Amino acid sequence: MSGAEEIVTLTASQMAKAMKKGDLSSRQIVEAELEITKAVDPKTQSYLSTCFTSAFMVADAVDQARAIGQELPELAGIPIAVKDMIVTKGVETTAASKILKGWVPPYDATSVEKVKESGMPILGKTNLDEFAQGSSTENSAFHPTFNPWDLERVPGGSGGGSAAAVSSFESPLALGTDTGGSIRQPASFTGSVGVKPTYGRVSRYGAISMASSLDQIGPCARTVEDAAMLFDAITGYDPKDSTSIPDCPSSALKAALEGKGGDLSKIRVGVISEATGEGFSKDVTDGFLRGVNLLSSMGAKVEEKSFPNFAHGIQIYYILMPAEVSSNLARYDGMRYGLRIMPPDATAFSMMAATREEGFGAEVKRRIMLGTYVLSSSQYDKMYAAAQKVRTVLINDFKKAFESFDVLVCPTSPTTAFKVGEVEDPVTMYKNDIATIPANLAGLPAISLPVGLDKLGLPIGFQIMADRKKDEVAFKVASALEEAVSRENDGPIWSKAPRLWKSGE
Amino acid sequence: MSDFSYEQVQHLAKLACIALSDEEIEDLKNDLQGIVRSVALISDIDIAGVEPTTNPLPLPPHYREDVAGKTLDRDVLLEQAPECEDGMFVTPRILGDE
Repeated sequence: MSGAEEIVTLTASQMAKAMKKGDLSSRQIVEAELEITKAVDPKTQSYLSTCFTSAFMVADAVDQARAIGQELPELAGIPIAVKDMIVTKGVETTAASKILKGWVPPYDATSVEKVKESGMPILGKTNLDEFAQGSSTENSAFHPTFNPWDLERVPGGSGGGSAAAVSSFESPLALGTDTGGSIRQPASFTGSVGVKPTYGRVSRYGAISMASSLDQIGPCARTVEDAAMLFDAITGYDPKDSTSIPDCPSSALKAALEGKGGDLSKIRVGVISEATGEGFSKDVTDGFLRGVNLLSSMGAKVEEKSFPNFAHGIQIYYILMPAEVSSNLARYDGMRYGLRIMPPDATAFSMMAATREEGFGAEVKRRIMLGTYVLSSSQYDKMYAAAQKVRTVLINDFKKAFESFDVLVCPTSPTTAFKVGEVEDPVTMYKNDIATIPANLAGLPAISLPVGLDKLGLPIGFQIMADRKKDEVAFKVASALEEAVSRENDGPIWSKAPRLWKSGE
Repeated sequence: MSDFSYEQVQHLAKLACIALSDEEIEDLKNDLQGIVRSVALISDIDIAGVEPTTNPLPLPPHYREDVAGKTLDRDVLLEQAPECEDGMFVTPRILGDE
C-alpha cells in the first residue's frame, strides 16, 4: 500500500488493521496526510497551524515499538487533528482569537494527554469561530474555513476546521468541542460523524472555557466506528475536572460493532415532532424521515414524540451561554498572558479595556455584552435566574421522555450548508443550533451522522440523542443507521466527498 | 422591553471592560435589542416552584486525596507574560485616574 490517495481514504479502523498486519506504517500514514494536506488545505483552510515534524517523531516511535512486538493501544499510529480550542503543550493555541495569538500553553488538556498516551501523532490545530462562538467558522480572527463539498459554502461551526479536515481526508480523526452544537452541526454540514458525549464523560481540563455548564470535548470522524474508538480513548474520570463523572467505563466501540448487525428490535425511537416541518428545509426533513424509516425497517419501535419546550432551548441558551461566556472570558485581561495593548498613560483598567477592544472580534464582544446585561442586577432574576429554571423544565421533559424511549431523533440542523457570507444577522445565525442546543442544556450524549444528500448534493445530518451516560446506546443506533444508509446509497456518504487534491475538484 | 440607549450600552461596556468605539456601541444597541427580544419568549413558561439548574449532571460532592501534586513551574508560566520582572508579573499602575 503506497499511494497517498489510497491511504488517506482509509478509515481509522482500516488504518489500524493495516498497521497490525504490517501492510502500513504510521510514518506512511503521516506522509500521506502531509501530501494531501499540502494540496487540499489551501482550498479548505482547515488548519490554523500544523505540526508534522513532531507527528513524524510520534509515528516513528510507534512503528519502532510495533516492530519489536510491543503491545500498543488500538489507535496507536493513527493521526489526529485538534481543534484550536483545546490546549496543547508547546504548540501555539489561539482559540482563533487575536487575544491569544502567540500563546504557547505550558500544559496539555487531559484529552490531548490521552491522545498522546494512545500513540496518536497530532497533525495540527484546526480552525474555529473565535472562542467557539459561531455556526459557520467565518468568525475566526485569522481566516475562514471552506466546506470540502462546495468551497463556496461554510463547513458549519464552530468546529468547521476539524469537520473539514476529516471530510476532506486531511486527517482521519479530530477532536472538537461542543457547547451548543459545535461538533455536530459541522459534522452535519460536511457529511462526517460528530459526537457530543454526556456532560462529564470527557474531561474539560484544558478545553478553553466558553460556557462551562455546556462545554464538552468529543470526537469528529468519518465513520461511527472511528468516532467510537476515539471516544473510548478520551473518556474517563479526571480529578482535574470537578464535573468529571467517576466510574463510568466506556464501551462505545463494542456498541458500534454491535449496531452494525442491524438489529434494533429492542430500541424505542422517539421522533421529535417539533424538529421537522416549519423552520426545517424540505430536503432536510425528507432526508431525515428516510433515516427514520430505515430505523423502523431494522426493527426499532418508532413513535412520534411531541416536545413543546424543545424550541425554547435556543432562548434558554442565548441567556445562559453569554452569561457564562462573559464570566469565563473575563480572564483575558492582558495581565498574565496573551495580548496586551498599552494606551498612552495606561492604568490597569485602561490597558484591560484597550486589550479586550483590540483582541476580541465582534461576535465575542456581542456575547460578552449580552452576558453582562443578563447578569446585571436589573435583569438577573428576570432573565438569568428564569432561564436556569426553564432549563430544569427542559431537563425534566427529557427525563420523562427517556422513560418511554431509548433514543430521541431529529435533524441535526434545519438546513444543509449555506454559502459564505449568506447569513449576516446574528439571530438568524443562532437558529442553526436549534436542534443541537437541547442536548447541551440537558447534558445528554448526541451523535450526528450523514443520512443522505440534498438536491444540491450536500450532506444532511441525522441526530441521535440518548439519556445521560447512555452514550453507547446512541453509538449502537448510529452505527446501524450508518450501515443502512450506506447500503441505500451504494457506499458510505463520506466516500462521496470531492477529492480536492485532484485539479478541477 | 425598553430599547437599549447609547448610555446603557456604554455602561455595559464599562462593566465588561471593553473600550468599544462609538460605531460599535451604535451597532450593539440594535444587536442586543434583537437578541433580547428573541429570547423573551421563555417568560411564558411556568417556572413556579422549579429549582434552577447550574450543572446539568450534578455529582455528589467528592474530594481528591489530600496529597501534594505537581504544579507548573513559575518560570515556564512567566515566559508567556506580556512583561515580568524578578519572578513577578509587571502591570500598569492600578491607582490613579481610575
